[in-house]
Amino acid sequence: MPILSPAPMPPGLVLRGIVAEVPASRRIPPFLRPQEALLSGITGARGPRRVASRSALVVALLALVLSLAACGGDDGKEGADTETKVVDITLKDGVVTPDGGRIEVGVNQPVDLVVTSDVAGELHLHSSPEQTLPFEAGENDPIKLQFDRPGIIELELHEPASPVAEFQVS
Amino acid sequence: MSLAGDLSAHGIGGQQDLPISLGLAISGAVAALVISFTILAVAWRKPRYDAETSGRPAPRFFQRLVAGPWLTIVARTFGMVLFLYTAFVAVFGVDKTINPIFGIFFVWLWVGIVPMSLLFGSFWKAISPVRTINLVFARLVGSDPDEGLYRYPERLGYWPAAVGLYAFVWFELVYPYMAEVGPVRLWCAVYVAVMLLGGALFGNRFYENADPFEVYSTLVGKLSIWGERDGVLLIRSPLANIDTVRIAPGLIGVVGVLIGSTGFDSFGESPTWMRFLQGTQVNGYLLDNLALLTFCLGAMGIFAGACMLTGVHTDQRRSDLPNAYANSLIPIVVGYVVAHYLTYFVGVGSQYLILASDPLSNGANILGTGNWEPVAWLSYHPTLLANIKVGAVIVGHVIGAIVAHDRALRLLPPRYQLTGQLPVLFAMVGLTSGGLFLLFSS
Repeated sequence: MPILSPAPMPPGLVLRGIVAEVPASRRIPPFLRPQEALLSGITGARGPRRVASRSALVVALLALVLSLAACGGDDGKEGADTETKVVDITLKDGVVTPDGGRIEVGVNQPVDLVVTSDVAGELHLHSSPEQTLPFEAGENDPIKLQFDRPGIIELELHEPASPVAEFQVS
Repeated sequence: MSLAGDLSAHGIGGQQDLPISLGLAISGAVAALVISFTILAVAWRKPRYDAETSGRPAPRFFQRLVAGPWLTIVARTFGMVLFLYTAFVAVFGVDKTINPIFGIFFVWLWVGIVPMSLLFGSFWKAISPVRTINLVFARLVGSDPDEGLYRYPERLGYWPAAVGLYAFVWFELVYPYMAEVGPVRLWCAVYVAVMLLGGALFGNRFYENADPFEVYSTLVGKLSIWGERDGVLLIRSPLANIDTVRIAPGLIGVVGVLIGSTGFDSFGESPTWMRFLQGTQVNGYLLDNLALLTFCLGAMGIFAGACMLTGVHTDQRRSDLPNAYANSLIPIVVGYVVAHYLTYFVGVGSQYLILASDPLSNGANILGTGNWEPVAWLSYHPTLLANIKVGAVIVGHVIGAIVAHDRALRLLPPRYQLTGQLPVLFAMVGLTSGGLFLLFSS
């Protein structure tokens, strides 16, 4: 026996009209009301009321869900970090460190990339717009970066092609 | 403002969105679950949507607009101009990602088809350059564009479109040289050739079944308010409209590829997958191929299996059910697409509107859009953006669950209507939670 028997119901239940007064007994979903759920709704007289109570239930649940969803947002950090974040990048024998891990930085927080390499080369920064950052062999002066737009920005070595870091700007 | 250098290793587009917060992901998944069972418990128990009666005639202005020649001419001209422009930059443009073809192909066409179809119904059908060329050929030789040399084999259904869509997503997400002009040009040339050949052989019926963009556009267009019955333009609720999707073999394949590939696009960019690819000895290209295939077949398999897990009428075949339910996945596809591509579409799409003003990348400004700035407003409001994304996934899920509910009442014998819906709902909750998880772990 199915829990919900296909009782004849008037059409037009969802999101149609909100009823202010909903009897407490009717707030229980039908599948939790064993006998009544199976029998009610058959007579025409009870039909419209059930429609109203169901609409109210749907609206109430939607409201609950929307409020749940609304609570979920994070507001990020207010006020930018001003401390400079230094990222040391080493390229030796074709192997680059770090190797693509995520680095969290604040919006507008200064970032210094300090590249030490045995060959000259370039880094690609997949910001919008994208940027190419060349470096020389040996120890380089810091490459100064700052991100004003929240998001994920990948940093890749051009040759050999390999990920270096992902800046999570928030 | 331009993209610096040729960043072909990375594809197109710059920075990506922040992952959504754990709290938002969880409340989204809980919402999906609660809403699903609310629908099951409180919604109607007789099928509500009937293609024969739903909708009402559109206002006379729109009737005349659609019936008259001008709208058709404008749409076909627009499509042909875009097509010729694309062919021009494909042949003469520079081989860098500043060539507008990348924006036209990967952003305007592939992502833009969704909002345009939501607004106008079957948008690609209206502007499709291959239909226009087929029409011109037919006029020239005095034949009927609807008729080809042969009848389209009905049992093929939408499968050719599913294959074509897979060919597109494979090219975009797996193929390593997607950001070079040559391969894009080749892909488009093969597409046009196959479409023209198919049109000659089977007439316009071919495009309804086999043109990947037209099938995608027509399916998403069923979530618009525009319908048609007996030549009369209707205004219908999207819920009633989506019920009128033509069911044919391969529909489950089409939606499976769309859902699976969008999921793979999130997954393929996730740090977990990136790290795994780096750490393993196995060829990354092979693994990407396998992962895309697994996502698409997985989405198809989960949903098809869930649809068939029910009692049926004695004369009903279980294997018909997945295609009969597949329209309920279209809103979920659209929800995913909004969540995944919204900033990409607005940001990169507007970037290429700027670049399109300079087709040969020699400093021209033929459209006058060359001095515009790309639209980045959404990226600066990450909380709003995250809420829009989760909201889109949930709204897609709600519509999908309602459509599946109505379908179950139509398809299944009364005693299995409840139990038969449960696996479908679980599959949907699974797909939605999976999508949210990917947004969270991106």
